[in-house]
This record gives sequence, structure tokens and C-alpha cells, in this order.
Amino acid sequence: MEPLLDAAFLRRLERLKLVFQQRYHGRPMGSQLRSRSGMSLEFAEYREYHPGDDFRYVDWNLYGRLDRLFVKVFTREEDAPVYLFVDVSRSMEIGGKLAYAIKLTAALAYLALNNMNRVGLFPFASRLQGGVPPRGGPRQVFEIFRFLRRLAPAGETSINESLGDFYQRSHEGGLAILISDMLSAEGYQEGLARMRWHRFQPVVLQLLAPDDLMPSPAGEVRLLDVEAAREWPAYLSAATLDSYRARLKAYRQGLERFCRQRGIDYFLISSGEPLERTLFETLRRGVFLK
Amino acid sequence: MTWLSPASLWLLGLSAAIIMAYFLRRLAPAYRVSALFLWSGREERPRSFLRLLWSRVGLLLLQLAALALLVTALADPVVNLPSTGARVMAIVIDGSASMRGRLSSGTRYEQAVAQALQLLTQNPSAQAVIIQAESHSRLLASLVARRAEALGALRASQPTFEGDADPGELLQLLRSQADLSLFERVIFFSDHLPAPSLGDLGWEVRLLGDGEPPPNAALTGFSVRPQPSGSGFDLFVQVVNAAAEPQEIPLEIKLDERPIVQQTLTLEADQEANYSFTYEGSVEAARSTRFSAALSVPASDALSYDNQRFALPPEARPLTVLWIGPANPMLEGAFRALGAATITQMEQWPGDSTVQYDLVIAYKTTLPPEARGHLLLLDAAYPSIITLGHEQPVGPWQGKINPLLNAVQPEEIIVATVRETQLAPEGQTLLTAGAWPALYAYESPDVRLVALPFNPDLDNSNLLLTVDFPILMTNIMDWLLPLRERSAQLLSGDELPLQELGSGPIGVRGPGGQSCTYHSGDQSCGRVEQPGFYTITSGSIQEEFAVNPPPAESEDSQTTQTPTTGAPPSSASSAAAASTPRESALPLWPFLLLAGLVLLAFELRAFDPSLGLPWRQGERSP
Repeated sequence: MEPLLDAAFLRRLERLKLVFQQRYHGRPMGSQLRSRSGMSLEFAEYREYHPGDDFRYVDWNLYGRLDRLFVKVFTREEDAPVYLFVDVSRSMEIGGKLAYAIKLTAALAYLALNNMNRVGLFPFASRLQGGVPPRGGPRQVFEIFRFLRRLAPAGETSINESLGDFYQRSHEGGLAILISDMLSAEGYQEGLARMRWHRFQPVVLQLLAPDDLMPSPAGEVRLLDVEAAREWPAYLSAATLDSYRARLKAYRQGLERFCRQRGIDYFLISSGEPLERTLFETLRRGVFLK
Repeated sequence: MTWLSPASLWLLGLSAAIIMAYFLRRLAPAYRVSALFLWSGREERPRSFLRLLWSRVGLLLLQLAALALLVTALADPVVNLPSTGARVMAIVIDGSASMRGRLSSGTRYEQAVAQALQLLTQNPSAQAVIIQAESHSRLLASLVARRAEALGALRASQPTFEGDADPGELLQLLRSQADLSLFERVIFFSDHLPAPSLGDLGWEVRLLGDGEPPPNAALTGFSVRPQPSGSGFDLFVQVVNAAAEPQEIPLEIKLDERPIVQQTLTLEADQEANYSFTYEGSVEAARSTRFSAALSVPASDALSYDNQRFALPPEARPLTVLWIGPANPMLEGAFRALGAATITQMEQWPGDSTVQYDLVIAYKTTLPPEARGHLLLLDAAYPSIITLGHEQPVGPWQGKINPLLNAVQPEEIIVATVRETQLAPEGQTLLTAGAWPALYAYESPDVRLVALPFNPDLDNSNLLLTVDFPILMTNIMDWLLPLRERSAQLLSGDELPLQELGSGPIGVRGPGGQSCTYHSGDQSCGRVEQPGFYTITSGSIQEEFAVNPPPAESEDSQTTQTPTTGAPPSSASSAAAASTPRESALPLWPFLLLAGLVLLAFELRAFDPSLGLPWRQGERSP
């Protein structure tokens, strides 16, 4: 069986480190910490108040000066779990996205486990499709890798529904990395917003194939939606493709704007880009991977 | 509308194959996409029915329309349009020498051709016969000739040096194309009115010219005669000054290119004058005696060809005569008195050895059936042509008008008896004495025969003592032997008497060095046209002729006529033909073919996937 990641790559991964920036409402030090040893709260930053934030952590001094509401954000060193959500809908068949997503997930799982984090794997399409509960330790690597190898694309994408399933399982907060093409007709807003409310540090890795980003003219075709199995006769001319790319850009920008407004890390990844460059360059421009 | 090839319409059945192929064609390939909603667009404009229809079956409709147009073009439809043009017409262009006359814009003939071309262009669907009319009229384009060929023949035609057309020959040529009643229009282009027999046919006559007749000086006659002393020639010249003003015209006469006469002639306006000159000088027998006369005229002279003429002195050639039958010194002496003749007398026909004799005179004998050549029978028989019976008393003379009896007064001839004669019906009895023939002429390809079926001796007739004898004999000799005395000249269009030189090949050499070899039936070689000297040669025999254009062609008949545009004559039928609206067939296939090809090109362009045509942007709604 061909390994998901070769040994040399795994050794390079070990140099990476996940950075947790949990946007806690900020439990005051003490009460919780006493039940857990080794934890500490550290003030990280101010951020704008969002509806749903705990009003107790509003910095009223700043409000008096600036007449604007800000809350304090604390960081806590903890072996916070890492939740890996992998989109296994049929749209991930296009352009090798699923295979790329599997390897990316494997890499993130490895480096998280290497950082002594607990890692859980949750494939989803229209709903969550089982998964591997968050655990730590070297055995978890094999479990996750084995699970990843068995993944196959099926079903339509429903991010809201899938994340809703996840929230019902009463997971504790952590780093939630969503690897998906994010192309859901139903939208993604509710699912991602609830992720923030449920105290997750969400990271959205929108994975698109080169064919998604830059399809080529093909004349008379039948557009086939691989998830919905619907056909649509079309004529792929240069003008048609320009129109599509404009819509895709608008969709992406909408997603990015939504994530930015809610403090969600957003990255656009192409499955045509080498995995190493994605991990060591693209994702390291953010804050969750160093 | 009329379909000239309706069978082609069956090709419309190909539309079924096109429809089947269109709907059974391979489906467009599937293009897998991650999310269809990104391709649809939320602001999609509503499609009109026509755009929807175009997206589904537009190409098919284009293909079917192109097929329909191309098949219809193959079926060659024509539509009858009202037209005032004639359907069948004849164009007759005068090709005689006078049409070479210069005008301000080219020659009369060129003007005629230009007008004829314009006429044909104005009647594109009419069938047209084109005839060039001269001494021997010829067909330039037949009724069934294609228009392009007819136009080409018309443009390539040139005027001749010949005289006017013989009306009968012209009409016969026209009838060879169609009955005269079928010609709705006959347009005659000329510089003068046609012969009365043609003018009465109701033809449209288009006179050519600039209105005022151009000045013209012409040599209308030139002949030479040897002086009786034999030491020179008498030269006769006829000159016409067809100009409005007197002219002084230099004249030069040459003998074998050597000037022998140079004189300036003074003529009044519209004057015709005759001049005679004498050339005193020995003419060597071995040299040719070619005379030419030429006028030096100004450049404004209308006709250039009539300023020069050619002449040859007449010369009686000594005859060789074979006398078959008993000798008759008186008769033989009478023949010798007509001119130089060498008479060889034989009792019987010598067979094939008679070819070297110009004339065979049979006297009181019967020629064998194989006798050939030029025969004069005096009380002699020729089996199957002339059978002589008993002598019969003569009756009143009755003669026909014929060149053989020219200047002969039969009533002065006394003949006691004539023979009961059986004559071949193919010949002509020219003179009878009562019920029996006295003069008979017969001609076949091998025999030219004149018979006097009575005894010409003095015991039966006083013919030898009358002046009618030499006249009659001269006439007979002229008919039997036209080469006996060389003609002064021939006219352009005449035929050389080539048959007289025998049945073998005859070489003909004309002016400018052109030559041809005449074979039996080849009229093109024997007909002369260009003025000048012609030499015919057969074996050791060589004869020369001088050819000149007809003098009548130098007359300008257009003195009072102004050029017309061919107003239709008073003939009711032709007037009705010119004014009655008719139909002309307009072929539609070029338009249909062009439309079909344009549609095909449009369909091909619409189908080309590499082109971003405006109506192919966006996707079709499901």
C-alpha cells in the first residue's frame, strides 16, 4: 500500500506547529484552572464585539474612550483538540481535490499529533459520515491514516447540516479545520457562524481544482453537476467562462469576507499546487500554522 | 415560373437524412463541474421563444433552407417577365467594300458592329442570327449559337472587298436558319438602302455615317489593250471625284512596278472622267505584264482601297484543236480565221491522248462514249447525249436568250435540212428550226459540249458565209473555253475558273504571297477577295488574273440619308412585334445558388465552436 505521505515529508512536517488562538470569552483564571493543571490564561488581544459574546468580558474602559465595544481575548495553553473536517462530497472528485484533501488532512493530523494535540477526523458531505474521535498519541496516526484511505466521494455538499450534526455531539472547543471546496448551494454561513459560537477556532481551507478555477473552452457541452447529477446544456466559449470565473470570484470573495468578519482564518488552495508549498508557504502566511 | 430540370427537386428528399442526422447526432460531451449554480447565474435573463427555438433547431433550419435553395437552383427555374424585346431576330451587317469607309469614329463597319452589339445586349434572351452580307454572304452566328460565341464572331468579323449581297442568296441564307415569318425583327446595317426586293420585306434599316458624305476620290476603271502594232499598250482609266470640291489628283500607272505614266488629273466636284494613255515600249514575252494604277489622295479620303486598280492585257492563247472526222478544208479554214489555232485532223477518236487538246471538233462522225473534254459537234453524234436521225426540212427559227446566241441573227442563216435529233434532257436546246434543234449545249463534270445537228457545208447551209458564223463560233468558244482569252479582271468575290485547268491540284497564289492548293469542291481556295494579282498554276499551265473591288462600291449612296436609329418599317407584323409586350425568361438559378451558398457559409460559421458569436454567449436554460 502506498503511503499517504512519505517519510521525508513527515520529518519536514515535524518542524511545523499549530498555533491555537482560541477566541474565548475568557474564563477568568482560577476557577477552571484549578481543575486542570498546567493551564494558564494569557491576554492575547482586543477584538470587536460580536453578538453572542459574553458581555462580562467587554472592556468598558475602552468603551468609555472610544464609544465602541471591544472584548478581551485570552489564549490558553492547553492540549486543545484539533478537529479535521474533510469534505467527501462528489464535487471533490473534480480535479483530484479529494486525494489532495486526504493528503492535506493526513499532514495536518500528523503535525497536530506530533504537537501532542488530540486529533479527530470528521468526513462530511450532506451530513457527517462517521469519523475518528479526537485522541492523541501515535496510534491515532494510524487510525486516521487508515480512515483516510477508505474515504470515497459520495453525496452532495451541505456544510450547514454537517456542522450542525457535529455541534449536537457536544464537543469541546478546539481548532476546527474545514477542508472543502465550500461550493454548497445551501450556503455555509450558518454552519461557520455556529462554529464560532461553539467556541471553536475555525479555519477554512477552500480547496479548488484548477478546473474549478480556470476551466478551458470546450464548445458545445453538457454541464454535469457531479453532486446533483443534473445536466445543463451549455456552450463554453471564452465569454461564458469569463462569466463563470466572475461568479466564482464573487462567491469566493463573499466567503472570504464572511470569514474575515468573524475572525475565521480563510485560505484558498489549489489542488494543482504542490502539497509542500501549501503547507510550508500558503498556510504559514496565516496564524494557525507556524 | 417554369422548371427546366424538375427532376432535380427529388433531391429535397435529402432533407429527411439531414433531419435524422441532426437529431441522432452524438450528444455533446459531458463537462463535469463542481457546482452548477456557479454556471447558471442568478441574474439570468429570460429567453425569448425565438432565441430558444434558435438554440434548439437553428442550425437544422439553416441546413434545410440551404438544401432547399441549392436543390431549387438545380431545378433551373425561370420566371417569365414582360419584355418588349424580340424573341427571334436577325442582324444583317453589310460587309461590302464600301463599309470600309472611314468615319469620325472608326469605319462604317465598326460602327455597325458596335450598334449590333448594343442591340444584342438590349435583348439578352432573344435568339439572334447574324449574317454578313456581301457578294457571297456568310453566316457569322446561327440561330442556335450561344450568345457568347455569337458576340465573339461579331467582334472578330471584318468587312470584305466584295460588292453588295445578292438578295436571293441573302434570303436563302436567312431561310436556312428559320422561316422568314419567325423573325420578329430583321435589322440591316449598311451605308446605303438595301435592294428593293429586300426593302419591301419590312426590315429595319440602320444607315451608318456621320451625316455628311465623306470626300472620296476613286479609280473606278482601269484596263489595258495591246496596240495592233504590238509595240505597246493603250491604257484606259476612269476616275471619280465624289467630293464637294474640285480636286487635283495625281495619277501614276506602273508596269511591273516601273512607273510609266505620271499625271495630275483635275476633276470638278462629283465628276466622273475617263482618261486614256499610251505606253510605247516593247514588252518582253518572258516578263509579266502587270499594270497597276494608283491615285494619290489626301488622308481625309473616305475609302482607301478604291485608289488603286490592277489590270492585265488580254491575250488570246493559241488553241490546239483535234478534228475528228473527214477533213473539210473550208470549215477548218473558217476556224483558223477566228484566231490562232493548231488543228490536228484524225479520222477516229484517238482515246486518252485527247487531253492535250483544248477543243475537239467532231464533223460528221460519232464520238465514242468515253469522249471527254470540250466538244463541238458539227453534224455529229455522241451516244446517250446526241443521237442523229434522218434529215428533215427546217422550220422557222426560234432561239432563246442565251450568251451563245449573243449578237447572232438566226434568220439570216439558211439551212436546208436539219437532223432528227434525240437529245439528252440534261442539256439545253438554244435554237430550233421548226420542230428540230439547231443549237444544243450540254455540260457535265467531264464534258462541255455544243452541237449543231445539221450539215454546215455550203451544200446545205450558208452559215460559213454569214457574219453570224464567226460571231456564233466566238460565242461557242467563249463558253467552251473561257480561258481562250484571258479576262481583263475579276471582281472581289468572284471565283477563279479553276475547273478549266483540269481535275488535278491547282496552286493559287494571291497578293501578299498567300497561297493555297485548290482541290475539287474547295471553294474557299478558288474565291478571290483581296485586290491584286492572282496566279494559278496546274502542271505547266500558268494563268494570271487581276482582281479589283466592284466599282459600284466607290459610290457613296448616303448623300441625303441621315443615320437613323432604325425606326421600324411600316410592316404591321414587325411594328406589332416591336411594340407588343412579350415575355422574356429570367433564370433564377444564379440567385438561388448564391443564396444557398451564403446560408451554408452562415451555418458553418454559426457552428464553428471557436468563434464567440454574440448569440452563443451564456448557457441555455434547461
